[in-house]
Amino acid sequence: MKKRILLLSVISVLLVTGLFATTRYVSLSGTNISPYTSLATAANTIGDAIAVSSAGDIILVNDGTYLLGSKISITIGITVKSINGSAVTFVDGNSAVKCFEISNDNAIVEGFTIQNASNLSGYGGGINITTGGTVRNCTLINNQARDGGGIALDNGGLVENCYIFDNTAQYGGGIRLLNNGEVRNCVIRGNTATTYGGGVNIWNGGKVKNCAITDNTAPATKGAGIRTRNNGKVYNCIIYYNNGENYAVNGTGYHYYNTCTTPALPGSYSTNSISSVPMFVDLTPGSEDYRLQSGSPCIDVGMNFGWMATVPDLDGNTRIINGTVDMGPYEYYAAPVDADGDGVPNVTDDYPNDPLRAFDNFFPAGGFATLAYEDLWPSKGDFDFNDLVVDYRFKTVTNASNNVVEIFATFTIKAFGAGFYNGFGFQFPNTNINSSDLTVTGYDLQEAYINLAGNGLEQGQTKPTIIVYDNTYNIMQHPGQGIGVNTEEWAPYVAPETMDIFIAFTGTYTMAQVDIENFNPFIIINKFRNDEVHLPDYVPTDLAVTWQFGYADDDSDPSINRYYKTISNLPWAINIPESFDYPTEKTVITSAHLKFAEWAESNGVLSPNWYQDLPGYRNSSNIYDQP
Amino acid sequence: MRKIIVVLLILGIGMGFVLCQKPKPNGEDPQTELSKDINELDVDDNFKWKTIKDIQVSLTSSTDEVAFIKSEKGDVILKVFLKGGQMFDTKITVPTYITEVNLVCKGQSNKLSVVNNRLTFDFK
Repeated sequence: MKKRILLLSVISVLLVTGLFATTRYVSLSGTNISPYTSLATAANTIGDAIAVSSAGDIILVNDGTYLLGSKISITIGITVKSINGSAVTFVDGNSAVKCFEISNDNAIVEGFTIQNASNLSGYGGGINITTGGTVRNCTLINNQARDGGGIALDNGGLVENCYIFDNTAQYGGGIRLLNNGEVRNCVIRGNTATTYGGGVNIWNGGKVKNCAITDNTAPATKGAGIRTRNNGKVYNCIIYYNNGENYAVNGTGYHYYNTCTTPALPGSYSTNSISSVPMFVDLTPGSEDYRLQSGSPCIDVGMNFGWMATVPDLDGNTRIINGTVDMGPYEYYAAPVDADGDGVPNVTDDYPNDPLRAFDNFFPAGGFATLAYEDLWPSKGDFDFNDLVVDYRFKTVTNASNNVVEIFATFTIKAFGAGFYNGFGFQFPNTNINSSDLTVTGYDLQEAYINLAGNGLEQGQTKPTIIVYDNTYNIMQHPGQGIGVNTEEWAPYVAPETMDIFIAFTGTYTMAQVDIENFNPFIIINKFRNDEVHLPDYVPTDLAVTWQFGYADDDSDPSINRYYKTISNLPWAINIPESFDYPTEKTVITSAHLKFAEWAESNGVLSPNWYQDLPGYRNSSNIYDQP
Repeated sequence: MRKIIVVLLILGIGMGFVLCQKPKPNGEDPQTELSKDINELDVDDNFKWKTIKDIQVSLTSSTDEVAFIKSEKGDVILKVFLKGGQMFDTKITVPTYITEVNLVCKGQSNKLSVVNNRLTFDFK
């Protein structure tokens, strides 16, 4: 009995702490199959996903506009969050209903644009936090209610880093705080109240911190910007340029700390406040920018709070710079040093003194990738994928316009288990690059069967094509023993050889246009320029002969864009985005990499990382081990 | 009696052989060492043997900013300059097993799930 109680206690603790938390999905294009644990089976409505959720669950909402027929109620401690942010994820009240009603301290709503809600006889248009909960990184726009057009906080709750625009209510056009609750780091603009508090109305307590409250409207003397009644507290806010009084007070216990507004706040209910013009960056209608200009009196004069150590400002930047927080939702950052004047600050510029270059972009992002070939095409080989094993990495240098300036391509031959004198090259994937815009250096061609143009590209090709070398044996010394180099452990080890290809661009191309990551590498078999082996379903170059397609074991069919596969769909080459530990000579890859078969037979779904050194993934005795 | 001794000796030698085997190097699982003959694999006609995938990316910032896309390991996949108020469209290429990336800009890091091979983010 004691054991059972203990077990139940443990399970209860796990449930409470969310260790059994489930991630569920919502998508307009999901198949709506409960429990909605993948994007494919996602619920079509947020409400459906909430209905099957437990405390601690996370509901991720895909892009789109979710038109509501009834409000979304959140009564348990779950997180409802957009996948890609408020710019592309909308919850729309259809001018008929409240959008969200939240009543749990641990509930979080994050990353939505909440719009067109209507609740003309109650609390909260866009959102109503009744007893507790957090709203973060949301935009509330064009909502209406009797109390709190954008958001109503009834008895607590937190609203942080939100934009509250163009909402309407009788009390608190943008936000209404009834009995406590807190609002931080928000821009509250363009809201209207017909009775009290155009931007914000605090009734019996509540705190507003680091907000810009501007361009809101309310009747005369009723607080166009904010109306603070009993125990309303305002900290670090800028309340300016409202259409009527910036602030109004009523009752007792209200106070303004470190706030910028006009006219000057009376000393009887303000501390460290100022009335100077805040110096926003831009007040032009339609392009308002409530960040602070250099020299603003609102810089470094706020009151610090503990939460500022973890909550960023509305730009996502560190909330406190220079030791004291700024007033308003944005921390002021002095213009960073940009020595070359290309617009990219030195601290993030890989070429701080070169205006023509800004960034290094690497593929793969970390370390090297590997190409591994079989060279008996069109016949099948032994599938040890070590007839050529070459690591590669591209460094694409871009300018401040994100256009490609140059590419450094590094190729390191690790092994070749081949008797053929093979060459190696690659082709750009698209025809959109004009060959005359490129200049190539760094190749090693000694066999006189490659014809180059003056700029180093191979002649006779529609797409830019670079031959890195024309005979592996000229690049990497054979040790005199073994079939090739570095495929048999008993034979002497030869240090890998690296070749650096440099490609300069004169035309204007984006990284996506160049698309070097999807380059088309190939080997040239035994110095026969027309015999190429490519990755599966990669097209041959213009110089490859096609009569061998369908010959021997090859089952290529150009009419359906099928290339370099056997009749049983096996490849002659593979491309691995990490440095590959290749099989020893004559060892079939499936005997070295034990998940390779599962990956292939599952169409790439299972074990997509089959090449990694994970438990159960490989038989190390069948993988070449550098002596 | 002699038979019993012989049996015990054989058992002892057998056990010793088993117990004295070297442990397998890291990454090996004796249960899964056997794998299919590659010529017996049942591979779909349309399988591309791809280990990498493209992800379409759309980034926006209200101000001029340098933005990074990083892998979960922290490797920089993309580094670009965002012009304030303009959407920047590009693509990144990552291993097929990648399901999440970190978008870093303005001092914030946002972990995003890769959905439908597309990433859209507004740094505000």
